[in-house]
Amino acid sequence: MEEMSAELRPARIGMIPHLRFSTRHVLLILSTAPAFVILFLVGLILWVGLVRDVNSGIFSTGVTLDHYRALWADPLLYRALFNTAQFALIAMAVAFGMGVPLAWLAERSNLPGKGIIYVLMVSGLLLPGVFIAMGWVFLFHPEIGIINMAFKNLLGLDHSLVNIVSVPGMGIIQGLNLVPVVFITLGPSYRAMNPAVEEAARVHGLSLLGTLRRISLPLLLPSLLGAFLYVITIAIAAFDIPAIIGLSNRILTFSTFVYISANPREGLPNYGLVGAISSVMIVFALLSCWMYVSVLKRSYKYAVVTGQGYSSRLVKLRSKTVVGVWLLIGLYFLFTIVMPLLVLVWASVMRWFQPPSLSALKLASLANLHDVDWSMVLAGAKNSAVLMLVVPTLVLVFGGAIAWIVVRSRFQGKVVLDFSAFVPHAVPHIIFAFSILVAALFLLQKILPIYGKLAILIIVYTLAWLAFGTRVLSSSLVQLHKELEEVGRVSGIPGRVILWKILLPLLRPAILSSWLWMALLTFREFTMAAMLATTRGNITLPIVIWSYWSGGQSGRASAVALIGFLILVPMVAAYWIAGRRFAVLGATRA
Amino acid sequence: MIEIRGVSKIFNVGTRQVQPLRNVTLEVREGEFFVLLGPSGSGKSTLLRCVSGLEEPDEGEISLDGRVVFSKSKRIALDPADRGIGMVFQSYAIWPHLSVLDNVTLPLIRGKRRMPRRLAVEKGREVLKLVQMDALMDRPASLLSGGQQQRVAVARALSIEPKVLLMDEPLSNLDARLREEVREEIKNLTRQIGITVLYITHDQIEAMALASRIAVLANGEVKQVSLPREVYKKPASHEVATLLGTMNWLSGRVIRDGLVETPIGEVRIGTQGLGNDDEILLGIRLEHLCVASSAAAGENEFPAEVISQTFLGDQIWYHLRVGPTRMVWKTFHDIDLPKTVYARLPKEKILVFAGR
Repeated sequence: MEEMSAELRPARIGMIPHLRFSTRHVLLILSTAPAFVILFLVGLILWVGLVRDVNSGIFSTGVTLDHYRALWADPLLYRALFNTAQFALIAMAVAFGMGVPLAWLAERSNLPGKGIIYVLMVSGLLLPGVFIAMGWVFLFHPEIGIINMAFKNLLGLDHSLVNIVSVPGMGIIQGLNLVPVVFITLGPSYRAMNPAVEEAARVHGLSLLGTLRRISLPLLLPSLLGAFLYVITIAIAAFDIPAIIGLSNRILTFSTFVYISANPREGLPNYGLVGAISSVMIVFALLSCWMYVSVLKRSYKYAVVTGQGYSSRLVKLRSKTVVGVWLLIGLYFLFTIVMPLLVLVWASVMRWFQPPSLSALKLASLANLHDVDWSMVLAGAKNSAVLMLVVPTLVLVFGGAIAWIVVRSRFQGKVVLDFSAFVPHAVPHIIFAFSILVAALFLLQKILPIYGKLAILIIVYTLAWLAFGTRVLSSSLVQLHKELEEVGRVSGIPGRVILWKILLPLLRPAILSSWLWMALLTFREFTMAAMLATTRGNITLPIVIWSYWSGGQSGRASAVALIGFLILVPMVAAYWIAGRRFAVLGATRA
Repeated sequence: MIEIRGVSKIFNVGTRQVQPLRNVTLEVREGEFFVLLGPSGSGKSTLLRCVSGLEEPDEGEISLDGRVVFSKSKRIALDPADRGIGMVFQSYAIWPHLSVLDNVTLPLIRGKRRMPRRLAVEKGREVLKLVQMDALMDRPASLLSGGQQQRVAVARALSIEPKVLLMDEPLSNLDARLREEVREEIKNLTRQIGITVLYITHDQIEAMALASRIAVLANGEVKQVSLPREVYKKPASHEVATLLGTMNWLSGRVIRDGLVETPIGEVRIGTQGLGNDDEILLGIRLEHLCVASSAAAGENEFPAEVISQTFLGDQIWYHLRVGPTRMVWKTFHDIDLPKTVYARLPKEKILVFAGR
């Protein structure tokens, strides 16, 4: 009977063959739905840049190029773009200047204590930029910064030593903040490079410099270029540091310009102008995205060079060099993690911020903790918790479907899927937030009222992390031989059982570590929340801090930041423990 | 048992079209050990995947055990699971997160059969015993050696009691010595159960050792279907002959019936009925050459110079220069040859093909 019905079933002239009707359709919906929303949100921005007046009607007021003309006329924007370029370039210089040699030292030298560098780097990556930026303000603000004041008193200067409330100042901080990103992206390519190719050059008579120039550099170039394009998108789109340090002093970059244009202190938001500048940004983003992908393709071609069975020979460092290197690393972490956190502790016990001293210590109290609006903090903590549970799960479901189709199927549209999943990485997150804000206010208000709801954050976070989730899953799926699934199909095991019993257990390390990673990213997310978290229903912990900070209550902001930090520590620890446990099973890293 | 009629397959690789299968028609009889032999890229894997249902042909019809499992015109495409097949993959595809026994029982419990666990374990033990893996039943599959994984893969394929066993180069991942051993095991096991096997390989020795019949595939087309001996002794084309082992080649032109002009001189052949001035290709297997240190004044004898020799243990290859061409003589006797020797091409051993 069963065989009869199977025989009568019409041929599946399908694009994704061999899956039962339902599984196939579920997969298609799960993968195309987010891709569609992403493309729709990008399209919406392009449209908003053309509509005469969004406030009076998104479809009814006609199309104009006025906003694009206004781009040239707006001095504030002009300034902001110039600042962004300067900010990003300085950040890149700092990030690569430190990240490249650090990655080399950790991968290719015999530097002792490398494990600690990894721990510190990943911790640096996870520590919310908001916390660090606040810490830096307390340390280096020209008027209130502790270190600046100490030097003023010590040396009798009439001006401050370092001024971080400036574009170069913010750029340097952003750069220091991006060092871990450079480190993490470059590490694997150093590791993957077979030292034999360098040795072969040396044996055949090339000098050390010649080897470096003609062999090592060309081999590393694709990954260096890839890392460059990857990091510069982050630098251009950076929001937390420009917001915490620059916004109150009217030093604007692209992201903060979008933020204040969408949330003006008075009057109606100028959606058209933001739409126009965002469109320009999207074009640039897609261009760099295209470059990134083509560079990545080249680096894969080189990756074949790595053979099996070689152990990276480590360059021996002299003990003096080791001491020097560790001194630098120590200073780096002192200034980027330890001191900002310590000064936050100090600020949280001070009613009004003042430099540490014995007399000030007598004023220390828990008043800030007492004065904090606890119902708001709890609401923020609850929302953050819900987001951390829901968002990574959704990303894995959608990203898993996309990854499977891209890696395993011959679906004609998979290139589009792959591309759309990559878009959220290239396009600044604040643009996505802006787009969904416009959609919520002008398109969905009746059908799907998500404005001011937690749902709007769930949607935009899920889309934003989709690029990461898809890539982690597809890179581990590629490593799983497809015959492992095929043998299941031949033996008659239904698709969902193959998923639960074979695919998921085998992908577990990747799923677990990426889930935890995205949960942590969700916890520290600030950019999109700043645009969209407008009510108690969807405020997140970083936004509670932000609202105190921008309201001038730095003590309370610091107190809440410390609470956030205390929540973060056990989570990072869990991430490390999970990472170590599953690394034994051959965890697949992104 | 397996009928493949007019099966074609086209892939789009970027803007290029690749056609791994061109109008393939084959029939495998019940209980046969049928080997598809072809070089890589010949389409043999694609054909096997079309039979299994993992791939859909673009044209044609496939029947298994008298039942149409795929037909383009009738719009039939059965799921792999509904075709009554077992399959052994090239990578073995042993699920590394499960034990040996679970690898075998998962298809029984969660597959079409929906066997109760108790019965599945019994069945699993039975097939594992068949491949002598019952002692390692509870071992995690990730701890198995290559040969052991191979056995588990065979056990898993047999556990669902398939009508047809498909094997995709199952020996290619084993080292040379183990390969011979497992080859004999597969031969004995399948004969013992009497199952129909469709087996693909690029290794002509493997093919000849296992097959009851061989189909030679090249460029997506079936070039010859025959008994192993026939394929070796009477290859249908120059291409097939090359696939079945290295040969000495001579191009030539027919002078008259039975006499061919070649670069090394005039060669007599046994083949009749060739037209004068036909361009032809003569082939002779390495071991069919006769080499002696003195001339015997026989037919097709040519003076040759020994250039070098390759010692392979059980056999020796002598590289000869015969006139303007090079030839290889394969012998099993370690003998000392003088610099100049005489090579004879026995008429009855010369294979004749149309020239290129």
